[in-house]
Amino acid sequence: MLTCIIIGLIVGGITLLILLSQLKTVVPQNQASNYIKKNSLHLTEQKDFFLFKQTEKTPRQNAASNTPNAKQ
Amino acid sequence: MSELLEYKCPCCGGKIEFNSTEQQMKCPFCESVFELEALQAYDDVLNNQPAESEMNWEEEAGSEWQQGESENLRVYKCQSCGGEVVADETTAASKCPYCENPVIMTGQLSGDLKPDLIIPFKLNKEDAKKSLLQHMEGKPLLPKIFKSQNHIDEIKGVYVPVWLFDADVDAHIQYKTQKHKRWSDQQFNYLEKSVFSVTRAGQIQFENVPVDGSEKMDDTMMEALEPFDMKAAVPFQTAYLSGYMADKYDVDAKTSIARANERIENSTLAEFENTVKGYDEVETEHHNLHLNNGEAKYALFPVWLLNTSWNGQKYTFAMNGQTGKFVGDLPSDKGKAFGIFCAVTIGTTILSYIIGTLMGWI
Repeated sequence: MLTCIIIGLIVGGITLLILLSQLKTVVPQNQASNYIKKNSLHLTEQKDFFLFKQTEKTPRQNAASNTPNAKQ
Repeated sequence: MSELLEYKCPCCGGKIEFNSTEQQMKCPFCESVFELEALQAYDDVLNNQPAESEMNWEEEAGSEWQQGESENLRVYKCQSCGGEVVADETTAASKCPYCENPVIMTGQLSGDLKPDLIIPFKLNKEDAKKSLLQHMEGKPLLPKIFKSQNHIDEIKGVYVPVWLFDADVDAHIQYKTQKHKRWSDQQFNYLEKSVFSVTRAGQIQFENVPVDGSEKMDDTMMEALEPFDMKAAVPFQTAYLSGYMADKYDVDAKTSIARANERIENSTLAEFENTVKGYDEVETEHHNLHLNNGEAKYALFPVWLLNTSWNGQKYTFAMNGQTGKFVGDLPSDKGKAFGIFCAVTIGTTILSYIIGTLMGWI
């Protein structure tokens, strides 16, 4: 039940933010993408190097509930 | 006194204005239409005039100007009715308050102050009013009585001075990126992260990045009205100003360039990041951008400004006079907002409870 209430609050909050954002239209333009000269982007260097790998593991919830002390 | 320029109809002597619908000079009295080229001769006067800066003010009977109050005022004489047109030091075009005759202050637009380009108005006052009504549609949180009680105090077509900047950018950016691989067995969830060092370098070019050159016009509002289509920009002629208001710049190019470069840098970083593909996570480690700015151009952009009032508060709306884009912050009904929030929250809670029960999760 608590999960359902939290879901309700999140959806309600998101809905409210969307409706409030409709009222604010005076927003700054922090980029200038409309003014990029067509086809002017030229890459002169493109390098991708592999550095290292690391693996993380987290125990699964089902595994925890299979332990002798877990409640059924 | 600075020279005033007014366009009179050669046929009937009435005041002629730039008609945004027909994109020509038109006399509203005898309906005569004139090509802009025909009025080119007026502009030859400007080309030979040096920039003027004249202090000319009069004291009003019964009161004295306080120190500094009158420094920013200019007084002109209307050539039609002789009335005094009082304007601030940046006004370049206005209307006589007595006879409504459009007037152009040539001293504000001559010599070094002459704009390079202008985007003529394409939409008229009625379009601006219709846009305001459309702007208020489909907004559930807008107080209902705002629509009915809100009234337009003032609506004016203004040519806003704008600096246009070009830039060639050399960029060298270093990223740290990751590819993720997930799998599970009976006991554990695994996440394998492969980390890469990525370099991107190259060039990108920007042209006509606009920055508001007027302190009177809110910079954020002017940016919100973008984009303006530069293909419609034409070499400046004073005839376009007739019937509209205009200001000369009071924020110079040196001051404005910082904002243009900030936007250019943000866009450069975004465009180069878009070339880093195939990764689950991308983080910029450091960047080196070198901007080569070209010469700034001075232009006038068309904007319809609407000042309204409601519930003791003033609201300003603006419409792009070329594309019709409409901006302006609206008030919200707090009671309605709370009501909608509660309704959606309760509705979603009940729905998720029903779904959870049916699926056996609860």
